[in-house]
Amino acid sequence: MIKFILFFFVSFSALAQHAPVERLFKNKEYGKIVNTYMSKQYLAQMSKRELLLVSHSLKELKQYKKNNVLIQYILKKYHLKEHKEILRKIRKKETIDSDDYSKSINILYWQLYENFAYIILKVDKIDKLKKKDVADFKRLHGLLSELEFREGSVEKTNNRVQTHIQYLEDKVYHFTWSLSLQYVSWQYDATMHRTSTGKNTGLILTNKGYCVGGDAGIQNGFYHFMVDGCALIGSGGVSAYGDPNVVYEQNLPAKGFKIGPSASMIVSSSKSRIGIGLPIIYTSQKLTQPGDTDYKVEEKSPISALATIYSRWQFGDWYLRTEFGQYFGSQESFWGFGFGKQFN
Amino acid sequence: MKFILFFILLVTSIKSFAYPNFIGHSYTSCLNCHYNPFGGGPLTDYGRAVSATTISSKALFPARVDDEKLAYMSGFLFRKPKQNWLRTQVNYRGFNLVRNPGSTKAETKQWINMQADARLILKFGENDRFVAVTNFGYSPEPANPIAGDKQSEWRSREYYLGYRITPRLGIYAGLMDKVYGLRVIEHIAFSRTTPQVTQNDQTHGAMVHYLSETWETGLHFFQGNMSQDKDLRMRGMSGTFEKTVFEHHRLGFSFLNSKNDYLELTSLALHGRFNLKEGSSLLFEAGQTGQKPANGEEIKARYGLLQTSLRPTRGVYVLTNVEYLKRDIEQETYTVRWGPALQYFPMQRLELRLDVYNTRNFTPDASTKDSWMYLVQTHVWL
Repeated sequence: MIKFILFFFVSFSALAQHAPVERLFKNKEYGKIVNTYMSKQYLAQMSKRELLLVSHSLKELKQYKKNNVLIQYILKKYHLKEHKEILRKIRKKETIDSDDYSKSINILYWQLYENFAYIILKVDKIDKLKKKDVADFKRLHGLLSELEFREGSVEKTNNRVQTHIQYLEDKVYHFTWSLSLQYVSWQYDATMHRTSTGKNTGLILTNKGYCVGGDAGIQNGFYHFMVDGCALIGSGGVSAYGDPNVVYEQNLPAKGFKIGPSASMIVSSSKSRIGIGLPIIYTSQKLTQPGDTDYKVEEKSPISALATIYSRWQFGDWYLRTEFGQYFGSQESFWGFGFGKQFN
Repeated sequence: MKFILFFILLVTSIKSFAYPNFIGHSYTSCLNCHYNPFGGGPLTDYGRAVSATTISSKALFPARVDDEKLAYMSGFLFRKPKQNWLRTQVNYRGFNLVRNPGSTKAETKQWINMQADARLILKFGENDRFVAVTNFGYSPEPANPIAGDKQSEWRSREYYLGYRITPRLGIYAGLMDKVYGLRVIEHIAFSRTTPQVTQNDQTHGAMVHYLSETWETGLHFFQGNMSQDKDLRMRGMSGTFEKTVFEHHRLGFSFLNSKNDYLELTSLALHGRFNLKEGSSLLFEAGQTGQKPANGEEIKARYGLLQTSLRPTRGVYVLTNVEYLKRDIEQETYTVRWGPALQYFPMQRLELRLDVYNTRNFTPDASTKDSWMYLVQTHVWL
């Protein structure tokens, strides 16, 4: 009699609850399902089907964390033995096959895995990413891979998550600096003025030498902003041009520096980058006055500004760089190529 | 006179197409995409598919057109060939060349139709074991033709038979580019003009090619271009060897020796191609060429090429050519040419390109103004 009363009570309460969850789910009233039934009091009395309906409702509402708690509850309540055996076999590196276990446990693992993927994909900053979520996701990826369940979808989801984690890591700027040595050539022009005729003749200096220096700035996986500077040491020939009657040739030592900001875009996973720079060049190079006092060399400002295209190819911490630019308001150009080492 | 004509032929421009910088897409061997195992000339079906799905932008296509569809449409006239033994291709390349840009007195502009040709490929057997390749079309006559020695503007610059004895070993015979160094697209590159392996230096001969897992080599024996007078034909041999290093990169060397009645030419070069991933790459070649006239002293020239390539987005390549030439190693003067370039493939079959060239000469006690030029180029192929 007592058994009958108990059976009647349990069946009645189950029926009483089953019907509204099913109905609410059919009507897509997920919020109502979750608000009403997502409590210990109700969950303990629910059937597996009802629990799964609540789980689906949580998924529809994008409450992935709560859903994972519920799925773990379902796993423990209905598949504890299987679950333990699978974990034991994985620990002992024994072969497992998804066909040896119930389909529903495989699906529950998949749903857990998917929920962790959604949780990670929702994170927009690396410092908000919880290590435990990533660890759990990896564990489930290993588990599903061992079970060979929905292999294509599992790998696709894993790739999405790994790409997202990489993206979050790449978004973070960090300080970086480097040392470099370049072979460079830069030009400078001046004017030879003839007092008696008032005529001007152009002088062109083509310098070559080395530029020793480095850069400091901030970099993430996509962009690099820096101030780049180096000391110029070299020499160059100078000649008059445009008037065959004026001969002015000599070789002069040159010293100076080049400094300026630059911004580049990182375009490959090897960290190769391309960018632009706006440096200034200061050159200390004194042109001698001609012996004939009728002629006078008129020099321009020793500081010139230019725009450059800058690129860098990384080989680990070492890199090769090239830079090519033109002075503002002049046809003269600068170029350089060399190597450097980056420090983070 | 013939000697002058010979020199003019050497410096006349027609492009022969090869993109060794595509090692940045992990293609170490040219044989993946070209019928000629050292690159240039017509593309294989696979090469056309790579061009559509990896090299060219998808921006002009609606989102529903995926790479699989693009690969399907990559054949001649946007169709998948109905048979496996015949391929046809049509090419046009022209550009606007501007010299001394910005100069009120010296600026010149010129449109040049560089190439318009049709190509025919017959292929049989598994993996195109036997191929017969030919082209015929228009290419401009030399810039300064000599009276009485007019060159035909309609000619074939390539025809050869190829047979892969095994997938690794192949033999080729006919009119082909010489096997030497990096076959970069820039026909005026010092690394191509100095050893005389540029766009009009094709030669009749036989070539052996061997491709291993980690290295690749070729030997070319040639008798000169039979369309030239016998005394002008450069006869000799050349070869190249490349080894894959660190899985993605290639290092190699080349040699060439050729001779006619007026000149003996010997050239050696080292080269490297580095894959910096996602289309970015770095190429270099450094070489020395000796030219010994029949009755004179040998003059040795030294050259270098650094070509860098970056791919900011699919379809777009930012290139820089840094070139060095010392025409006579006994002299102190040398030239450096710097050439930034922008290459854009808006879709397969269309290449737009802007090249800037800045040439600077270095002399110890003197200086000259740089020379500048740029060209805007259109390349269409069907």
